[in-house]
Amino acid sequence: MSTSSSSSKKIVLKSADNETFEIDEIVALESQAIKNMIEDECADNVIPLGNIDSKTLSKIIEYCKKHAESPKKDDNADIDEKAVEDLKSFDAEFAKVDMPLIQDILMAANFLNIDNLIGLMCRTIADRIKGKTPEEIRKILNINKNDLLSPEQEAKAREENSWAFD
Amino acid sequence: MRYDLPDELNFDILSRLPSKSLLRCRSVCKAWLSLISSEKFTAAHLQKFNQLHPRKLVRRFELLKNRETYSVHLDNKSLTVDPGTLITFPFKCKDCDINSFGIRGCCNGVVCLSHECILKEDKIILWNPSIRRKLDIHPPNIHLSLIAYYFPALGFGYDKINDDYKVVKVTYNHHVVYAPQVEIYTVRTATWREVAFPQHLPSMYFKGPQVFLNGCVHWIAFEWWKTNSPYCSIMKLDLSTELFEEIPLPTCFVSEAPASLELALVNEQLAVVFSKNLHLPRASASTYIIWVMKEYKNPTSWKMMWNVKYDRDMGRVLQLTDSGEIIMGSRYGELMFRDYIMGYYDPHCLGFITEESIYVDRYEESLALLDIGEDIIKEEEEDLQQ
Repeated sequence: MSTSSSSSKKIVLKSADNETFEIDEIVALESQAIKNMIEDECADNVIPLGNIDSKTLSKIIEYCKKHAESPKKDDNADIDEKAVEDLKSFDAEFAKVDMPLIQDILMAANFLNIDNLIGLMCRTIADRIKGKTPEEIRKILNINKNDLLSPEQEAKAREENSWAFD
Repeated sequence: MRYDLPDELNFDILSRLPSKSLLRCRSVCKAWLSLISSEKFTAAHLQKFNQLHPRKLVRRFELLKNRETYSVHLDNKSLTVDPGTLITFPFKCKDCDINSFGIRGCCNGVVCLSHECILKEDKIILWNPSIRRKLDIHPPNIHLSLIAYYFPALGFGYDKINDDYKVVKVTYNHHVVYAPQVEIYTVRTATWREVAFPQHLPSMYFKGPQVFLNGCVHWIAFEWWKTNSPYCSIMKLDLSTELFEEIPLPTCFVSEAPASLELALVNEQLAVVFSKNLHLPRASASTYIIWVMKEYKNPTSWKMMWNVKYDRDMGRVLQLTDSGEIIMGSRYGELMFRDYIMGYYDPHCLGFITEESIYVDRYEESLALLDIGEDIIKEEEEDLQQ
């Protein structure tokens, strides 16, 4: 595998705050959206990503680098377990960030169509709200106060499934 | 920063949560309440959550304690008990000495129960243990007192086209008509309706337990009276079209005793299990032959998968796992010695379990019956604890 040899093709990504990131094409290909752009030959040397800030973009590149370097499951049936474990612990570490950044990464991953990363971020949010009360969830996620249920609706929802709130 | 994710991502996040968490999430905000209440979400959650967390439901009836015991097990080799998922059996038969409800089928996390006592077999309940919802089904129109010759068979499953749960009852009243009498209950209409059994099909007896696959209920079916040896086959009922169809068994099983044949599922394929040790008092050896129908409804695709012999009695085949193991006898896969009153003694549950009382199926978390079923009232459970 040629991952980071100097001869490999480079792609430049530009964040919303005009920071540029030069990465190997193979890393960029982790994004299905960029892959489609390159295949359709509608990608210039620099791909502007006007809705992703540099903090989020650098996290995403970190993720794509690691995943591009790791052997893919369908490449080889008997990948050593160590590589799988290694990727798992990378993902676990990667997700240890605050909720606003998780949401930014998730939105960006959704835009760039990076399936594994969408899954990882959704799982992280799910794990953080699992077993929590509605009040705690609203606080963890910073839910819009204009979208809350009316007191009557809320009382009804609770009454219907009171055991779930114990 | 305010939480502002598009529906598709909320969908993905919420479908990873267990049912109990979802009941709480309904109160978080209006957007989530309407998302979680949608039919599309219910289907996606059922599929995704249970794919991520495959588990098994084990039911036993302890004769000495007159008690149902339910447990949820992780789908691993030793079927480890899932300590986070405890199920209390909430139902009680008030006017009957034996409090035993058999499982007739499981589908989308809904368990179809009917009372084991032959005089109460019309008491049918649909139960979703993951959200503690139940639905009492009023008795069918054809009652047991009219029935002759053979026990009725029940079927249960989900009609995807009409988004409806259906219960099927097949009874035999040969004083009136030679063919099976079929009644179908639909949860949406809350009524039983008679459906004619097609004349071109052989008039057969149906034997549970059923297998639900591809929107159809499947039973082992058989007839005795035409020749000296039995004729066995598979009868299926499509719950959407409500049409019956016969699926031939592998030729080698057609004339076997119906009691030695059971249907099962392996990797979403229909399988038939032939057990050679059944109904022998103290069988010394057991043989299990398992055939799988590789291509649905194509009898030429039957293929023998296992032919295993044990030099001791291994009990009953309860379920086949997707990796091809056989779950037998008890939930630990151990042989329990056979008691003279036809039960196994299980040292783990301290009481006699009647032989037929162990039932293993998929355990699925789901929101099915959330809007239709009743909440199982707490007092009902406490009453049962006493």
